[in-house]
Amino acid sequence: MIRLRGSIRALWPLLFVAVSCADSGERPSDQGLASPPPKPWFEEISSTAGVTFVHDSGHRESFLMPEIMSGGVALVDLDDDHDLDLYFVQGGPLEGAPETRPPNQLFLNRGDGTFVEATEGSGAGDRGYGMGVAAGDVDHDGDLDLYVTNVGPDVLLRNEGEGKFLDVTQAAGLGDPGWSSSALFADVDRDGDQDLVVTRYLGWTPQGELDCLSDLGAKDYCSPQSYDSPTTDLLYLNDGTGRFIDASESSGLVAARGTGLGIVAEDFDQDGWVDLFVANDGMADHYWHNLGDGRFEEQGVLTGCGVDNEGRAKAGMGATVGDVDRDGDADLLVCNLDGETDSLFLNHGSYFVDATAVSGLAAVSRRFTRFGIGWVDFDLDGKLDLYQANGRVTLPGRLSEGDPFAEANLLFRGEGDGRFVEVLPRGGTARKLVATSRAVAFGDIDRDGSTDLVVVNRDEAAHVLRNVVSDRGHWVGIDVRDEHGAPALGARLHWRQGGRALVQTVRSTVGYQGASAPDIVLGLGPEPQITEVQVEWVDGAIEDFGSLSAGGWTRLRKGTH
Amino acid sequence: MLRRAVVLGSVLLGQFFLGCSEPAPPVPDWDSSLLATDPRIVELLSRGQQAVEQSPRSGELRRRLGMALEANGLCAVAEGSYEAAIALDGQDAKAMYRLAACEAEGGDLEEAVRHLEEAIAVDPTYGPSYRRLADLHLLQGDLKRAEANFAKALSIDVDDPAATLGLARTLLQAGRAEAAANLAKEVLRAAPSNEQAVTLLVRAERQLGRTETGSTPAGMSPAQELSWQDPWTRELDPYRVGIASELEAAQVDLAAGRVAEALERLQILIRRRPDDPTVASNLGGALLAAGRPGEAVAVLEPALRDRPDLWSLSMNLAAAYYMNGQLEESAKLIDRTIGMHPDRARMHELRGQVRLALGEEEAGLQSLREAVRLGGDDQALLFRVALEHYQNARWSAAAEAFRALTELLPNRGDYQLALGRSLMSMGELSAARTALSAAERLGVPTPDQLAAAQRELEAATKSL
Repeated sequence: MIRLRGSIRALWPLLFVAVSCADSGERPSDQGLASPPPKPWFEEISSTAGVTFVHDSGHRESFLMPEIMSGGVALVDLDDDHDLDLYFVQGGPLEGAPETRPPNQLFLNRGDGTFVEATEGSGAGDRGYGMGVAAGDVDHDGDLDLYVTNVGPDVLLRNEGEGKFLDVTQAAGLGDPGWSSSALFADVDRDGDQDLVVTRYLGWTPQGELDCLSDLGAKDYCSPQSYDSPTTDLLYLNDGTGRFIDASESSGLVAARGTGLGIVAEDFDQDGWVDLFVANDGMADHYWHNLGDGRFEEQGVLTGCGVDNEGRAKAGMGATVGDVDRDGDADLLVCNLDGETDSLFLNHGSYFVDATAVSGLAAVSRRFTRFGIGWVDFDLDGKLDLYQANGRVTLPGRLSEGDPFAEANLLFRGEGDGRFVEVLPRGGTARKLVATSRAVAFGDIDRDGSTDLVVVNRDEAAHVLRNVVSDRGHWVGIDVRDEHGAPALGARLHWRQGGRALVQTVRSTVGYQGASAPDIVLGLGPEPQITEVQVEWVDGAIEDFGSLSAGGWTRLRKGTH
Repeated sequence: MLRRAVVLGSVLLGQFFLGCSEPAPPVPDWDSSLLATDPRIVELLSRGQQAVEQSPRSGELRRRLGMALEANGLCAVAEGSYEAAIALDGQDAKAMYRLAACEAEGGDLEEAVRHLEEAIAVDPTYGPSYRRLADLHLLQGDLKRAEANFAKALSIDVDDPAATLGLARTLLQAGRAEAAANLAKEVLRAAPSNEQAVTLLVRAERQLGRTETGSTPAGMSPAQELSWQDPWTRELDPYRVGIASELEAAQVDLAAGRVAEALERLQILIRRRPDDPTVASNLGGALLAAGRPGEAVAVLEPALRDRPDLWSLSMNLAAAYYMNGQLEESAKLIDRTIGMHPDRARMHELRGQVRLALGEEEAGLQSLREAVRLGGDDQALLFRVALEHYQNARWSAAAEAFRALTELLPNRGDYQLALGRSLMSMGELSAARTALSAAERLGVPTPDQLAAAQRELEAATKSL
């Protein structure tokens, strides 16, 4: 790596000399004296929480493309004890046999926000070269099953209860052998079960790996365009029993190729059918409009969210969705490569408007390569904030120490109108955490009503960030369940708050290769309650749940009102 | 930030010992890990360092060293040299401009704005400074300043399409869709195929409620944001000596049709790196582009023997065989390559060409169809298939393919003309009329053919 000799030693005379030669025009910054340091929003607690997972990309000598893209995590309740457990997706030697790779790891929450590793004997320790994970109840038994995306055959782990899993991939008709990235469960045909959508990145094999060079002539990871091998995403329809039928072709998903990474599902046009948005790396993003008859039509460019305002296809990595301007519909955010801004697409009903330039995100985030992202109301003021997990994909042309791909993560406070302001200290922690971060999963680990998060870092320990925002607003925690007792993915929660009619969808997959808690934590600011709470179930039925007071968790189960 | 502190710290330390006089900034120093990467870069930087050591008070030499660093991907390191250049020559607008470029690349927009403003104060006649400043303000969400600076850039060069489109983008963000649409139209009048202008126009029209469609051309532009292309930036080109920069420059040359320049760069590179399969593959491709397939075969065969796993080498050699008339060798190699990676559209396209050349019509067209299926919206492949159908009088298939092309590229009058002709041959006169009208509206490179088609259509209509 490139180093400037003596750089650290040369730092120290600076302050002394600057004070001694004050008329030079250089003055010590008085910023630190005039205002108190900003309070961190998060505290890194992985050690005290017992989370010992260390990601292994498998990188040794050669630069194999999957090594720089790997690292997923799920933060969901896997043993049905009403707290959030952790499932980490591992890499390992890419070209080795599966048994030479370290397994994926399961950590169960003790109920107090600390974890115990429970991989051994759990059946969850898949040894494929892992990418991401999705969670959903595929067999109507009320618990969350896991779908693990790999370079090589994907795996469906059926939840057998009490932290035990069974690999049912073959029986379920799954196990695509390609390079899958993110996945999600959603009832795309509204037949009452969870279907599965999987993004795939490239047609790639180790034997076909290319030799790419950095600007300085060093071996480096390639760009996806080098491979000239975009591929198609996958749709599997659940037959109601947990077995899946590959509907990629009949649904039309094979009509457009891409380099799929992040994915979100949402009924963007509010026609009752869930649509899909796929972030493609270096190609136009895909907006798959659900036609309601089993078919999807790609309308990214048509609806204004495939490319930016200049018609530019950026390097889409992660994507998130939410009503960021609080106008009652779902907006989109796609994060991209360094040198490119994020793309904030505000929903205007039948099309999206690229509002990136006025969002406040463009200036800050474009110097980073962003992967895992999520809109979450961390400070509970009723406005969605933004967390971004960052890390380069190619060697930098600049000075660096340690991991050359490492970057700081970013945290933005939402203004509630589609605008954001960066929260300092950078990344929201007192000590800046600099790593090559990939997936992020969000959820309330310690059940205190505020959303925490877990970040996977390439070749490093994961970060567990506990929410310590000091001036949090009131909150309501809502756990929306279907008739089988499972999280009701795709159901839409409606409520009134401060004179506004608001909506949020129950979802697990956001960002990049991660599965977040499907619970909904609503920030109320100073208000004591929310009113006119309704759940619009996936089958279109609407159920009234009245008002909910701040300060506790409520479970809303289908058919109970 | 660390690097700037190093330079500043050293400067002030000198001032302390010299009673706050004005010494020259220190000569930058690199450690051996930088020297170990690319010898050409190392040599260039060493020469730059030596020149600075010999003339430590030359601001121009500092700027040149900064440019050598920046041109080879070391923008963050270059900032120190640009700062030193400015410290030595407070009138060096180019150094300020370049410093701003590096700061913008590194995400330090506030400093970039400050240095661009300083560059403008020194040289208020250089229009791109205002455009770049406006770009930065737009990134910062400061629409008012962005608008003012794009306008200023246009006052210096009224024909600057980048400034016009920048102003349009700004106005669209500000909710002034009508004004944005007018600017996009202005660009389109001079350059009807400008994709950025089409995209902006469509989006503005949709916000104005005038269209339901968001269809644009392919919608792909490889250019990165803030890709600074202007005369002062082109001065970096001679400093791009690293293998990656050279390869990229050769590829840019090839893409722009500058085959001789690309070949020259690649011949130099292959002498430096005779065993580099990437260079060999690129050189083989350039030789093919130059119509020298025999030489391409000579370069690619030994490279593929060393690295039989590299599909790019394999494909280039298969193409070289094909162009060299070695059809059997080409067919065999491309089948092997497709066996390695069956999903790559371009390999199927080549197989289609080879099979057609071998007289295997059905297999050839099947491969071209497969290429389109795999290539998605790649209009070049689609055009090839459309042309195949058209030339073989398969009118229905040709119409289908050309219709797909017109949807991908709605500004292409020639595709509309081909679609119209295909439809006419099928007897679908009404649809043919619509297509020919579109061709007339959009313009075609062969107006005689369009006129002939229109005459034939009129005749066919009358005969009914």
